[in-house]
Amino acid sequence: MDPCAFETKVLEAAHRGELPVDLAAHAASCATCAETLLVASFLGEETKAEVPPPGLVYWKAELRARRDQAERAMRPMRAMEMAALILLCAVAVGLGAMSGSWVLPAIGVGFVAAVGGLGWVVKTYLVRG
Amino acid sequence: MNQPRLSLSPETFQDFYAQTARPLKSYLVRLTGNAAVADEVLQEAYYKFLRAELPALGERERKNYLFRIATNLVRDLYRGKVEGALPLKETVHSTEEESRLEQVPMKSDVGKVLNTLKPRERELVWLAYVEGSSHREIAEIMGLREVSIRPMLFRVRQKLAELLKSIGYCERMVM
Ligand SMILES: [Zn+2]
Repeated sequence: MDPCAFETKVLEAAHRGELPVDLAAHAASCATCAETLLVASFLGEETKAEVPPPGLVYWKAELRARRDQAERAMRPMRAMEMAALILLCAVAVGLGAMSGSWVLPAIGVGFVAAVGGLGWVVKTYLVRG
Repeated sequence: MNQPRLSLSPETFQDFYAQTARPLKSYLVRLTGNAAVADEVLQEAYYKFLRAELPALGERERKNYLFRIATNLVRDLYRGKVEGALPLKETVHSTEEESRLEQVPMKSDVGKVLNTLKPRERELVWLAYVEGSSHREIAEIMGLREVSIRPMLFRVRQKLAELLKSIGYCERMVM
């Protein structure tokens, strides 16, 4: 591999699409620059591309940022809800253990599960729309 | 609730977008081989850019940072990390199964030739020969060491040049 001092100049010329005579003469005798010229001019042939309008990209980004922020804000609330449910279950089991019967805790856990499930249905289908 | 902050104002973004969107789209089309996927990655890259907490960057650094985000997103696509993304292959051949991935196939010779390269090779040649990025910038964008760029570029350039000669391509330059 032999780097050439003219490589950058050749590349810049390829980008401009204009090759000065002296560089052309050099590239004719330098394998590195000849390859650079060949590859750069080939790749640079077709660089036009359609892009979405900037306003749309920015607007979508703003919208998504707001949604992400709202979701992040909801996370501690969800964690608290989960903690409350676990605590209620623990209380129900504790009561059952103290009373010596599993009927009460079973009712308690069932009640907690029903409340939790109902809350989830309301949040998922009614609040979010 | 406070409005979430984006790293650029709409006006600054408009200028930045005008300078970077087309080159980025071309780069992404060449990396992914699919214009629709390229559009999605482009929007995702700008979103990540706008949400990043950036230090004061120069124009060129900003552009390099955007290209780095986009390069990583395409790599995630290849690894199947992006949800709902099309699984891209190391090299896209035109078999029946893979042509399904190319919703907007690359019709040009440039696309066909680039498809013969590995994804990293595509990143490398495009950044070096179309974007005119320096070795340091390429290393930054691709997450490689600067010293490894020259030998890699040498090998890919040689490979491409041989291929171009074999298909009878001659550069068209104004002298
Ligand atoms: Zn030379």
